[in-house]
Order: sequence, then structure tokens, then C-alpha cells
Amino acid sequence: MQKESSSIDELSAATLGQSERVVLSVQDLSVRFYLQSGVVSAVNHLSFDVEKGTNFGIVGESGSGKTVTALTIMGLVAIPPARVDSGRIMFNSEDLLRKSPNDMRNIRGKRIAMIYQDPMTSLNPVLRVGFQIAESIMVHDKIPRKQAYATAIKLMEAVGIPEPEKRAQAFPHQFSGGMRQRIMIAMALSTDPEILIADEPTTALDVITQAQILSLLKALQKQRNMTVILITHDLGIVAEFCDQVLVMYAGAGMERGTTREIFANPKHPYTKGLLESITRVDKDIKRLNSIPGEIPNLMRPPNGCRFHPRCQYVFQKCLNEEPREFPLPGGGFSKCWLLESDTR
Amino acid sequence: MGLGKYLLKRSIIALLLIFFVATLNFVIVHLTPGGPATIFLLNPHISAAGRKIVLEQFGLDKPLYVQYEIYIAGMFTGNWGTSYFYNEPAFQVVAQRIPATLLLMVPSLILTILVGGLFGIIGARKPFSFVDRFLSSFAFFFYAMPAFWLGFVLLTFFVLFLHVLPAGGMTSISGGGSVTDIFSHLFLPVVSLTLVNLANFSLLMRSSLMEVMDQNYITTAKGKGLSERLIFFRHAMRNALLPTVTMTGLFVGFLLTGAILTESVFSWPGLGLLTFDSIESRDYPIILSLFFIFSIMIIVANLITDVVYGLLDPRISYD
Amino acid sequence: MLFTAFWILGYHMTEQEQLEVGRVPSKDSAEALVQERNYLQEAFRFFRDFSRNRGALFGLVFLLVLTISAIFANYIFPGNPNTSFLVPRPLPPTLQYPFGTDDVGRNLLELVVYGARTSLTIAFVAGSILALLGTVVGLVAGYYGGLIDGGLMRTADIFLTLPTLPLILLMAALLGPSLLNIMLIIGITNWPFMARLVRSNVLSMTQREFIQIEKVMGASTRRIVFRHLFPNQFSLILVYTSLSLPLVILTEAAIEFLGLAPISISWGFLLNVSTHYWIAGAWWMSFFPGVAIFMTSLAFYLVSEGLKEVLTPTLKRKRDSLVVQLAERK
Repeated sequence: MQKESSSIDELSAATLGQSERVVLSVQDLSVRFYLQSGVVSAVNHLSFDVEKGTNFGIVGESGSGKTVTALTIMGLVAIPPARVDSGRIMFNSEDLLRKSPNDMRNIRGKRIAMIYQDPMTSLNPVLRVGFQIAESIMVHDKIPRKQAYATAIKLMEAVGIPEPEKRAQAFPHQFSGGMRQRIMIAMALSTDPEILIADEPTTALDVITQAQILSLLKALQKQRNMTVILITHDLGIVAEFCDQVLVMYAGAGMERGTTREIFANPKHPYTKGLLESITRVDKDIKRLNSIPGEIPNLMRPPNGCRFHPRCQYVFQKCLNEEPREFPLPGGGFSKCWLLESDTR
Repeated sequence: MGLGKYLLKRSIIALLLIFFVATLNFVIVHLTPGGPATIFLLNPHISAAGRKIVLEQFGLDKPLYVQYEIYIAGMFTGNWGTSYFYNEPAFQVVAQRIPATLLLMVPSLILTILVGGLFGIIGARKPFSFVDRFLSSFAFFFYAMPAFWLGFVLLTFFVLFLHVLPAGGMTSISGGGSVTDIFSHLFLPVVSLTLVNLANFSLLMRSSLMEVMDQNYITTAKGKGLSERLIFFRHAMRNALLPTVTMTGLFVGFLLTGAILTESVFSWPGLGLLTFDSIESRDYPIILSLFFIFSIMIIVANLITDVVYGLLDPRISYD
Repeated sequence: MLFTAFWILGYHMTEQEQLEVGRVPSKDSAEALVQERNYLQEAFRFFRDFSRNRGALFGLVFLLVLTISAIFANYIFPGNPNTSFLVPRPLPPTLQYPFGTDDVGRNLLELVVYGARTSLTIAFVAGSILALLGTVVGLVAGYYGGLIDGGLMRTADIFLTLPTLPLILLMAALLGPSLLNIMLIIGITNWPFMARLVRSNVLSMTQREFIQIEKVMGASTRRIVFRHLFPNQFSLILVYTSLSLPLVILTEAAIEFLGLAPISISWGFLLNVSTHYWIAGAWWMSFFPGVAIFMTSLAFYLVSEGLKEVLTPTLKRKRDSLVVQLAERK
């Protein structure tokens, strides 16, 4: 199984264009939680590549394993009870999973940064905002306080906070949700990271603020030539902002491709199902179909393909064997037996 | 809310509480069958004239609201009645004992917060480690222990068996009130009072720290790649400081209660012993005065902690 | 015992939990079947989980032994404890009198065992008063909200800020010494903390959708309260009550010790009497009753910790899925 995955990785890397450098490569990642009541298989042989400078979206329902994946990349997963049972996470030709905690700390927050879902509780209420932004560069780059503060003010300006000199002395509770998210972005970008992981950054915000934050992210990304991994359950956001998409379900990557392909020509039944359940501007939809059934219990996942209980195209092979990742012409893959006939 | 407004609100509430306590005092006293003069009035040999004198002396012949006015005025001017037992103004009797109790309570409070806090921090630093479990077991052990019994155990051990420390009271005749003398008498009561509260405090400290460590902003801090020590001491502890302040106020109350019991065991001449004695001798004016002063002490302590809390929490002092 | 009934009920999975696991109870008959099987199974599972905590098990055993000895005290020690004196002065522990004797020569062991009756009775009754008062107030305040809630909570606050021991002192000194009074006093001074907890629970539950759905469907208040809110609280009420029992025991002992309720055969009062004889060297008079108080309070505490572990989910915290919560532990 492992050999085939790596050859597929090489294949997809090749077809995605060798001129693009792959900045992050997740290869055959499996993360399980060993609990008293059982073992939760949160991430299951997941593989994907992220190209430098792109906006890479990870879509999935809650429980699909997208957040755990992000936390594993950052090294924030609690090792008991969790365990990384297989795989590598290659960041610029180094395996993050093999790094010592100290080395990982040097990367975390400095070269790979993360912003989180709930801006209301993600900032420390007793520390001033300017300090929280400046802290990263003070610690990582050893920049003296005054200078760090000046940088923080500039960052606040860049993310669109008015009167930054004054506001830097304020505390988080004095800001609105959207503003706090901007502060988090400023905090994350302070060290000029190569990768920014955004875990559902707009889920807790209203629609208008959502749009503002996302366009801010896009602008900053362009400015800094940064890679963004955007985790979301909202297909609309993906359509609008992401270049490439990975669709996750029950801890595995079901389909991967460019946004255009995924939306125009989804190959995986799950992706198809997702797309059929939302309204679209470009099509006249009379009826929304939801995917029947519910997400599986990760302690006792279904045999074979994890999606098979809900799949309308299911056949015998799906029940017994977990599908391979079949490469698609555009450069992505689909983890579905339906494609076996195509490749033959 | 603004710091000024918050402080004002807290002070007013404190004042109202004191007033309420005084009123409660009054109400309860007059609700008991017979009222404060019961002892005298129940005397079968009392004559009609004598009865009249008693009533007059206690002001019971006046209408209730007038009595109330007199009472409240008295409370605030220091006229708390006269002790049956000592035949002195209650206020004086009580006031005399305050320093001794403070001598017991203040060191205990300091030790409880410092040592208890330390244990709590150590436990929270490495949760469920051997050290943590050891300290927690120690804390649970003393949490369930009756404070006064601990006093007896210590007394038995150190005095009866080892003959190391004095048996009680604040000074001994031979010692004559020197610092070392008082200290040797102070040692066991303070230890007895402190141990139980220290345990309790360390548990609370630990759990509030652990709760803070669970918060989202700690994850953010971890995501910034900060060292574990930095996260714990800068991000977590400053947040845990707030509930600690509140807890201190709470513990003043616990220590007061504990002091009452501990003083009774060690015959330490403070408010607690007075409580014990005055209950035995049914000295109502003293009992009521003690109730009042205990309430005031606790209310004031809570007010002070509220003020400090307001100063420390930016959510209150800013906006 | 009341408590046995309580925990069986408390462990029954409510509709909400069934929904979350993905099994929606379809018809009443099916539900009835499920419920019957649940009780026995749940009971066994409960015991097994509980016993995993050795401290809790020890506490439970101790309490059972204590209760049984208290109930059957007159068989273990025939005769009136008050009349069995040998020599009217305290004697140190010997084989015949394992705890020694008290100032009038009564067997201290006997007194301690009889004293258990007082303490256990007070513990259960005061605990029940506490639970009842706190639960009712909490449910009402949490469910109705608004002015009722505000009013009740202000009252609770007043009770919380009032210093407890002085209040107890005052009430006990003036109401007079009696068993009933102590139980009432302890119950009344401690209910606010329970009410707050129940109320915050009810509040968090009313926000949840299934309650809203029931309301929209027009279910009567009684139905909502009894079939949905209450059962969920059982476990919590049980845990909180048992957590407050050590305090009840200690408070009761303190009241008796101070002489506010001289019930002649009670642990606290035995300690009170012992103060006068300690100087003479009769250390056993204070030691053994104190040990009894201590062990009982400790036992209640251990049991409550055990209950807490079994009945309340430990990962009841913030955000989304279980997996994510686990992931962020580090």
C-alpha cells in the first residue's frame, strides 16, 4: 500500500508541473487516538501536496479529520492519547514528524503559522493586543521590544485596523469579532511564515465580515507570496478563494484537484454529493439533494471504502477493499473504485 | 463597566450587606421567645417593678421601630450592649480580642496563599505526574480533615508525648510575653489552621490553572511556537491570577471559621475562644456582637478582593 | 437507601444522549424495551466503572460498614450506652475498651458507634434538604429565567456572601439545640451553591435545540421539566450533593463541638467534652471521635470523586468534536 502511494505522489507531483515547487507534502499520514473506550481513527492514510504560493483548500464535514491534520502538521497534537501511526510530513525536504520538540517549536509560529476558528476566545484577554502580535518576533527572531512593537503596528495597519498606534495598547475584549480575527492574522504573519494554515477562520463571523477577512487573506497572500491552507466546510468559500482543493471524508482524502475541475467535473461520489447539496449561481437547481446516512463512527469505521454506506454508486469491491488513489488527468486524484475501470 | 463605577457598585453593596447583617441580628434577637432579656425575665423571683426595670434597661418597653433605630445607631457608634458575663460594654470585650485573632489569622493567610499556591502551581505544571498526584493526595487528605481535630492531634503529639511545645494560651507565666514565648505558643495553632486551608487552596489553584490551560488562547500561544515555560508563566498564570484573588477573599472567610475552632482547641485568647466561651455561658450580647464583627470582617475582606480584582482584570478596568 | 434509587435513574441514558449517538428512539414500545434492558445493564456497568477507582470503593465499603454498625449498634453493644459505666473517670485504651472510656466511664467505642447514627442521619437529611432546595430553585430559575431567575439568584448571592459559620452560630444559639435544627441550618446555608450549578446546567440545556423543539411542539412545562431537564440533572445532582457531604459532616461536627447542639452522643460533642480532659492527658477522648469524623468525611469525599468520574463526562469542554478536543491536549 505504501509503495503505491508514494509512486502516486511522484506521479501527481510530476503532472502538477515540475516548475511549481511543492512546499508541503503529506504522505500516507495516519493519526489514531488510543482511548480507554476504543481507538479513534481520525486520519487514515492521507496524502496530498501543497504547491508554493497557492491557496489550498481542505473541505470536509465536522469529523472528517481536517482539523486533526492541521494540528498534526503544526505538531500540536497531544501524543498520548494520539499517535501518528504512519506517514511523513515533508516541509521543504524535512520530515516534520521526525523533528525534535525544540526544532518543531522553531518552525511553529515562525515558518508555519496558524489561525483559528473562534476569534472571541483565541486571544489572551489579559495581554495587550500589540504585545500579542509582537510576541512571536520577539521570541523567534529575538527582535528588541521597541522594534517589535513598531512592526506590530505596521502589521495592524496592513490588516486594516484603524488607528493602530492607539489600538495596540488595547485589550482583546475591546475589539469586535472581525477585528480580533484580523489581529490573529497580524499575529500569524508577523514572522513572515511560508505557510499559513487557516482553520475555519470565518465560521464564527457574519457573512460580510467573512468576505472582508477572506479578501484580506488573499491580498496578503499575494503580497507575501505565501502559501495558504484554508480549512473549511463551506464550498462557497472554496469556490471563491482556493486554487486547489482536497475533499476529506472520515479521515481520508477522497478527491483532490484544482477548484475548477472539482466544481465542473467532480469524480468522487462524495464530492458529487456535496456539490449537489448546495445551490449554485451558474446552474438552475430545482431541488437540493442531501447525502443519505450519516458520518461514520471513527471508532468503528466501515470496511473497505469509508464512504460506501452512503454511496449511490456502491458495488461489491467497495465493501471489501479500501480504494487506491487513482490519478486524474488534471493532476489530482480520486480515491474511488469507480475509476479503476478508467485506468485499466 | 469602568473601574470607578465598578468600585462604587461594590462599595455600596458592601455597605448594604453590613446594614442587612445588622438588621438580621436585630430581627433574630427579637424573634426569640422572650427576646434578649429572657434570662432575667424568666427568673421566677422577679417582681413587677424589677421586671419594669429590666424592660426599661433593655429598651424593650419602647415601640419596635424605635428600638430598631436605637439599635442601628448603637451598632454604628460602637454601643453593642453589655456583656452578661463580663459586665463590660460588649464592644470593648470584643475589640480587646481582635489583635490575638489577627495574630493567628494573618500568618495563616499568608502561608495558605504562598505555600498552597506553590503546591497548586507545581501540580498544574505537570498534571498527573508523580509529584502532582502526591501533592493532590496530600491535599485531599487534609481537605476532609476536621480542623479542630487536627489541633488535638498536634497537641497530643507535641505536648503530651514530646513535651516540646506549650499547651495552650498565648503566653506562659514563665515566658512573660516575650516574642519567642508568643511564637512558641503561636506555632501549633497556626500550623493547625494553615494545613487544612492550604490543602484546599492548592487544589483550587491547581484546578483553576488547569482550566486556564484548556482555553483556546493557550492553543494560540502554543501555535506561536512559544516555549512551554513561557506559555505557563506568562499566558496562563496571569489569567489564573484573577480567580486566585477571588479565592483569597473566600479563604479569609474559611480562616475565620477555622480560627474560631482552632482557638477553642488551643485556648488562644482571641475572638474564637470568646465565641466558644460565650456560647457556653449564653452571653447573648457577646454572641450577637461577635456575629456582627465576623460579618463585617468577611464583608470588608470581600470588598478588598473585589477592588483588587477590578484593578487586575483589564475587562473591568478598561471599558 | 434513597441514593440507590437515585443512581439507577441517573445512569439511564436520556433521549438526548440517544440522539447524539445516532439512535433515535422511534416508538414508545421500542423505547420501553430499551429502557428495561438499560436499567440492569447500566447498573452493572456503573458498579464496574465505579469500582475501578479503588479510593471510591474503599470509601463506599467504609460507609456501608459504618451504616450497618450504626443501625445495629444496639445488638453490638447491648444495653443503654448511658448506663454502662465502670469507673467515673477516663481510662486509656485497653483490650476491653479499645477506644478507652470517657469522663464518666462509658465505653468510648460504643459511644462512637452510636454517634455514627447522629452524623449519618444528619448527613443524609441535610444533604437531601440541600439537594431538594437547590434543585428546585435551580430548575425554576433556569427554566423560567427573567425576573424569577434574577430574584432567586440575588437571594442566593446574599446567602453566599453571608459568612456561614457566624450565621450558623447565630441560628443555632438562638433556635436551640436539636437534631432537626442542625439539619435545617446546614441545609439552608448550603443550598445556593447547588442552585447555581443546577441553574447553569439548565440554562445550557435550554439553549440546546431539542428543548426548543419540544417547546415549539407545545409540550407542557411539566413534561419538559420532568422528562427532559430533570433526568439529565440526576447524575449531576447526585455528584454535587455527595461532594458537599464532607462539608456537611464537618459543619455538623463543628456545631456540636462549639456546644451549640449538645446532643449527648454525637462525635462533635464528644470532642467538646474532651477539651476539658485533655490537660489531664486523656488524649483518646479527642482522638477517636475525631478519627471517626475524619474517616467518614474522607469516605464521603472519595465516594463522591468516584461518582464524579463515572457519571460526568470529563471532556465536557469547549468546541466541536471529541477528536479535536483530544488533539489539543498537548
